[in-house]
Amino acid sequence: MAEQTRYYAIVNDFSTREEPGGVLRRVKTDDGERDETFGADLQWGRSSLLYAYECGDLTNDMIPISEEEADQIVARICQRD
Amino acid sequence: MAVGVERSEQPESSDARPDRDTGPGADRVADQDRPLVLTDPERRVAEHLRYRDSVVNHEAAHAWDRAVPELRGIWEKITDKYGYTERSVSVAQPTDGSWHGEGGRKLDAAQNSEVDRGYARIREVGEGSIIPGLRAIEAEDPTRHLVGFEHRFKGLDRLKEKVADEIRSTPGITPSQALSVVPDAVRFTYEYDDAVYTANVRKDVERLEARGFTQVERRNTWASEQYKGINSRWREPLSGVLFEVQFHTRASLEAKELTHKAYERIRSVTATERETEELKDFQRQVNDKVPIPPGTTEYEGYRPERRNGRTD
Repeated sequence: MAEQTRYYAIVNDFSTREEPGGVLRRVKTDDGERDETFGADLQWGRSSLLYAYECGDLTNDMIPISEEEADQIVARICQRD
Repeated sequence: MAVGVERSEQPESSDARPDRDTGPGADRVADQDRPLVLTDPERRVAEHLRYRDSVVNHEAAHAWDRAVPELRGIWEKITDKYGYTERSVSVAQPTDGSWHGEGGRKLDAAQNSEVDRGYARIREVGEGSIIPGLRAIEAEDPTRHLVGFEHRFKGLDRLKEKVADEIRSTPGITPSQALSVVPDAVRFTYEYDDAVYTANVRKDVERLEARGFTQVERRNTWASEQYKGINSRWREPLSGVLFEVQFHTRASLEAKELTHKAYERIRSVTATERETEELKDFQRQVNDKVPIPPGTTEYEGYRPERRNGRTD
């Protein structure tokens, strides 16, 4: 199975849907799925934020977005540094 | 069943009654054997509702109780397969004032110190005004209680894990800001009977608001495969400190407890993809067996239009 990737904007009390605080991607593979966020270290790294959200955690909103929107958030994070 | 309870029309034995009384007042059993005709319409309706609710509770409890042993067996197999042991108390800590957690999570010394100070303040607000408020609300209805009260403050290491996740995943946020968005540093759980769950959650939400707490968000996840319940975020108005209130039935709370180690294992971000999939499948199996309380799907969540900058 080819990998399938879905993207989510991370929105908390200090960000907005128009300008999310971060971005998460869920990559489906033959073995299961892997969640990663694009971090302050400018790399994708494993994350449990989406899973926690699915289990009732209210720290962040996780909003499905397109790959293009995800790229824009990544670019914004890179420009910040 | 027809509205109104005419006991003479209830052919079931007293053993089959879900609300059978085997306690000190068992002399009521003799009364139950005599035909009882309720002539007052209001009493007839009230008795019908009481009986219906007791049947709902009884059936829900039994369906869940029957499923639990098998679910525990599945978890034991997963535990054996992956060699799980009790989670270590904490990751070995460096001596430079920084903090290290599972999955490579880190806070530098300044961040760690800021979180420690913030946590102390949250506990102070919790003890001083949030807990007394929640206790007062609890006292307004003796049919349900706060459960797991000993866990009202999140453990400091678990809290720092969340703060570290937030700092890493939302670049630019300060440690204090990250700490302030974690709603469950102070948390409470109310548990209800299935039959009265939805109505009583509504009442307790109203009581929280009447007590002066600000509802920030409420999420109904009874349709979720991974977690059943209603979780809500609240703000203590003077301090701005957030706290969480969860609303559960006995089964949904037991399901949460039964899957807690799977949840923690996935959250550690050290499990392989295949292992994670197996753990999620276990959570699906457990939650699939949790009875859905009547009316809960109609109780919508509440979320602010904008989630930034305290605009709720």
